[in-house]
Amino acid sequence: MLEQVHSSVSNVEMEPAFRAFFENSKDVCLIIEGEGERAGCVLLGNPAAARLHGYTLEEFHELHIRDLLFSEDLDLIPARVGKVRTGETVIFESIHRHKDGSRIPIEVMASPLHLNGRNLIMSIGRDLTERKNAEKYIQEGERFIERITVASPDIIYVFDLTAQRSVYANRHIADVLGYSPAEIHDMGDNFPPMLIHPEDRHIPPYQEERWRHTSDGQVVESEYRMRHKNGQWRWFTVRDTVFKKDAAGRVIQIVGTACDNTSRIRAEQSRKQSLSVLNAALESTEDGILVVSREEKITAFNKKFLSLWSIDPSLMELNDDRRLVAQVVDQLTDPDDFMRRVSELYQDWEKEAHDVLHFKDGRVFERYSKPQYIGDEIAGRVWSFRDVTAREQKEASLRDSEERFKRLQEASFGGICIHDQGRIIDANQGLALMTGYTIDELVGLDGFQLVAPEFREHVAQKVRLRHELPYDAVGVKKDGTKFHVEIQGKNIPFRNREVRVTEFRDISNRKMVEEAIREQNVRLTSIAENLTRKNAQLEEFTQIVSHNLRSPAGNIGSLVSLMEQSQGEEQQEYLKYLKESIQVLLNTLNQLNEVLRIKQDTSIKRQKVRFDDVYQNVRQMLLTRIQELNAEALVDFSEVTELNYPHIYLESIMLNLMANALKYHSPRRKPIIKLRSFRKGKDVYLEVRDNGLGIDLVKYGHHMFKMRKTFHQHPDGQGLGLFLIKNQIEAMGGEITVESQVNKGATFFVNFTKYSRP
Amino acid sequence: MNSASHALPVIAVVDDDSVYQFTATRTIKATQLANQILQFQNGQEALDYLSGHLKELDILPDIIFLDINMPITDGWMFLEEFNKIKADLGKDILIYMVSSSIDPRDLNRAKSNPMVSDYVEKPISLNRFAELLRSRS
Repeated sequence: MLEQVHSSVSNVEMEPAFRAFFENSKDVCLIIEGEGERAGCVLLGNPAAARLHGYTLEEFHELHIRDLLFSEDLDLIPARVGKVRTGETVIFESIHRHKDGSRIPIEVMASPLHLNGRNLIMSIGRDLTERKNAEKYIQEGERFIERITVASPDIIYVFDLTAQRSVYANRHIADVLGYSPAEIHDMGDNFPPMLIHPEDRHIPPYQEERWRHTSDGQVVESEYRMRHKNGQWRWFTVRDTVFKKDAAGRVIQIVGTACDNTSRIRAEQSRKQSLSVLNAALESTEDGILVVSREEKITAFNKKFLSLWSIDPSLMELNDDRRLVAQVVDQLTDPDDFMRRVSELYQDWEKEAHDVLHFKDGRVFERYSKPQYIGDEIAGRVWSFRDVTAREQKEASLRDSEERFKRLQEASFGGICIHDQGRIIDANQGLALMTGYTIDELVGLDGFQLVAPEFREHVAQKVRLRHELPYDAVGVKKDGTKFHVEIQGKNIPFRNREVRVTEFRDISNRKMVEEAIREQNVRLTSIAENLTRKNAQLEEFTQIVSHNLRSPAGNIGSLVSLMEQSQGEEQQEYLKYLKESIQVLLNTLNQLNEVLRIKQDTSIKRQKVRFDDVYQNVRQMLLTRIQELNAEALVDFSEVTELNYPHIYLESIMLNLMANALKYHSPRRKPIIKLRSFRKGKDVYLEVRDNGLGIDLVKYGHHMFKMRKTFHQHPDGQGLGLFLIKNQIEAMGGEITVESQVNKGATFFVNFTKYSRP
Repeated sequence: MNSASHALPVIAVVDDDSVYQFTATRTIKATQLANQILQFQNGQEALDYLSGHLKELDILPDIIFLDINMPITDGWMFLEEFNKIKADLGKDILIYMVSSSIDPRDLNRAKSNPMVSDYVEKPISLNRFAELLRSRS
């Protein structure tokens, strides 16, 4: 039968081009019997049809259309054939059955073919497997993208560069920015200005030019801030890529993902910030810093570290602490010890260490080493080095001087303390012994506690004025006893401040000696005064002897020698003068005798003498003279009524002073004599005041009380009385003085007790 | 000194001791070296005389024997006052301090005063007066 079809077809004068198409077409071409009992039999099929269904060409020609279909589609055959018979071209999709039973999606176009009066059906089929697969793939892809857009925490959007608006955004944008995709869509052109931070608006690649030289698939990454609907600024990392180009190849849409990185970026910024602070701190410190990881790699160091250790920066690039140590260790005086300690610390990472490093060149470093923690984990070790050479030297010299000072003050006999405005910083054993405190008690004590309260202000002033000379004060011991002390202080610099070193010297002994000396001095002074007075009296006496005795004696000698050379009446005249001179001599001797008696009679009895009684006696003795002169005597002995004194001396004193007053009265006025006893201080006085001639004391004062002095050209002036009473007064330990003005009068003061106070 | 320069000097004795005045005057006369002898009981009297006869050369003394210890105005006071009138006096006057005091202080004080020619102890013998009166010429 196949031959028949063949022959019938071959009978058809087929054009060679048609045959070539038929043979080479990739589409399935079948010619099927359209009527009769053989309707549906495959009359002719091309190689592509045989291949698609898994048959050889020979096998294929014996098939019925039913063999190429699955049973569920067989019912469709009569209807489709019927349609084609009516002359229609029918296009439908169907599933053919492969020889092995697999399904072949196929699109079929069936049309009537009238050939030599036979109604045939021409069916052209196209294998849909690939298309179906592609469609399926596309469907899956779309679902995949949909899932991604849903599942992604990122915003996925499409931005139209021409319209300058977002044309798509996934739902996630609502979570991230608080706006629904619809709201974003509605923002239109306002999207960038509304959401992007003013400072960042230049960042998103929303200009067409930005994409002009960008190849497909290239991603542009940027970071900028957008405002959440709640007003907060959020940081986004945005990745954009080309989505759509126009016919001219210009990019018109981009697709992008925006990831909210606020916390990461903030952390990053804060990390950068702290890193820069750390670096600044690292470089600004005076210490050399080296940080080494647990792997003994160098994590960080500063320039100071390099300069302290004279390290070439290139050495640091090796990033190996062991090699670094080996390079620098020889600078130290004891490299082995240093190595040993470094190893120890690298074995015990938790250990903290503080050492002093001595360099061969004399420098001294302090080294601190501490573990570096990240959280609770030890990440490495931090080494810091400080050049303390200058400080060491200073401290050494300070220690030295402190030591010397300590020895000095321990060796001192005095009490020494160092104090700061009174607060004792240090004290020696001497001060402890002197005050009864222990040294421990003294240190910290207010130094003014060691000074008697009445001297504290005095001492405080010396401290304030930085007084440096010794001065005396009174100290107080712990038990409250006081002692004389000499204090001497000096301000000195001490540990960067000014303190005062104060020395106490116990001068109780000196004070006692001084007291004794002072008493002795008083005694000696009084003795000396006494001696001076005695000496003055002795001088008077010498003068009296030399003058008052030698004068008449000399006269007698002269007269005798003149007498020898004379005769008669002339001799009588000499004899008269001779007698006169002898009388003068005798008088003088008597007077001297009287004075000598006064001076020698130191045991003359004192007795209670009433001034008024004595005065009444004296007045009686002078009564004639008083009446002659019509003189007036005013007496007042009420202040001191009586005196413990030799009666005859007081009588002599009063008699002579009153007689003197009467004798030197002024002829121009009525003589008035005032007598008064009084007490002044501890002394008892008698005052005798007259209104007489007075005495020129400037001229005669120094001669007032001497023997045989007369200061008036007055017939009665013999100048004996004052000399006598002066001796009486002085013998009893008193003094007589005079005040006077010429022609106004004179006042004599007798101080009975001046040198004999009870 | 003109007329008196070749004649005998006028002498003044200033002393409160009348017996001494007497013996001194007699002794000076006995030397026969004095023209006239003036007697004063104390320094004040002598000063009053000198002040009253400043330019009367004939009766101004050429030599004064001056006692130290006198009432009213003693020898020292006299010297002070004399110093004040000395320039007004018509002649240079020699002054001898005279005393029975043997106090060395008196001696030194007298010798240290430029107005005093010498210090003479009492009593003064005839020979001593003669020596002193001659030394002037």
